[in-house]
Amino acid sequence: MTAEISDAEIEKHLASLIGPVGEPVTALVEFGAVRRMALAIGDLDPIHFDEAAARARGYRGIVAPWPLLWLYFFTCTEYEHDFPFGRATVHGQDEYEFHEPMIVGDRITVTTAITGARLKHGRVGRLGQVVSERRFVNQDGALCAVLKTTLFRR
Amino acid sequence: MLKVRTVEPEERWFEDFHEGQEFPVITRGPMMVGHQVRWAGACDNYESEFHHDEYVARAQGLPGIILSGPLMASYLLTAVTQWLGRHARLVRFFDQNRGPTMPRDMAHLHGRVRRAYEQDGRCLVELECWITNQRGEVTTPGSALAELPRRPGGGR
Repeated sequence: MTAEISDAEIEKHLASLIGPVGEPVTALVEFGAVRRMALAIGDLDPIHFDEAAARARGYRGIVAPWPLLWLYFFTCTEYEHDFPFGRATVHGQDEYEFHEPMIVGDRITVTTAITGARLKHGRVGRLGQVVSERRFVNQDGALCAVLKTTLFRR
Repeated sequence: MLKVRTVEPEERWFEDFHEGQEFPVITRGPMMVGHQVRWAGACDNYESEFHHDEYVARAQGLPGIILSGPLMASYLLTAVTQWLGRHARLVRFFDQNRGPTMPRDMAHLHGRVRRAYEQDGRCLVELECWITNQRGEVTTPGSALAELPRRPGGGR
């Protein structure tokens, strides 16, 4: 199949990916999830475990470590795409923008869009590059974070 | 739940950082499949079998289990928050999954200040950060930008 599809067809397919993906999904920031993530990445800052400690540092409540974005990435968004070419999809890079902290009890709404998709020709042949962007907004409409993920298809 | 023994990041201010400043290397590892499994639990994501099953990984043509790129990046991000101290607020973070981390690999987390500057009344510290393995190979290059307050009362 890889040998049969033309560059023009691949480019057409990639262009068709650009735009919103699925519907916005809302999730509650749970203390257990915050604790589990903080322990998984070894972030022992008390603001992730203790409300008094978090308030003493100026936060509204127990703070989610930023990598908790990945919980919502995997449970609230579509993150796999169909490619009509290549054999493997590689998670290439991530770019994070941080704004309002996510606090236990917040309701975070995640929206996903493909913002870039193109075909390149590398040393080892065709390389598809797809950039998806996820925006995380809390119950007050405040933007918490933007996560841009680049996948490579080869 | 048992109380977690927490560790508060040190108190640091904008004045504590300068261009070229190297941070103490933080070493994680040896990385084990258990680290990956714990990450999968925290993300509630078990879709990619090659992240936790050696047989599947090899059947897919991989040299073995590959630990998740975002897991390694999250270790690096956490190191950044430790280096910059309790008052820092991360503004941006970037990482590339350049090389694999496999079970029993070491992860040495490095960081260096690229610049410390003021812009529009904000005090910002930009740094480069990266992970090397036990062979010295850079597996995860990255960068970060954080905002910090000035030391109260001024001076160093």
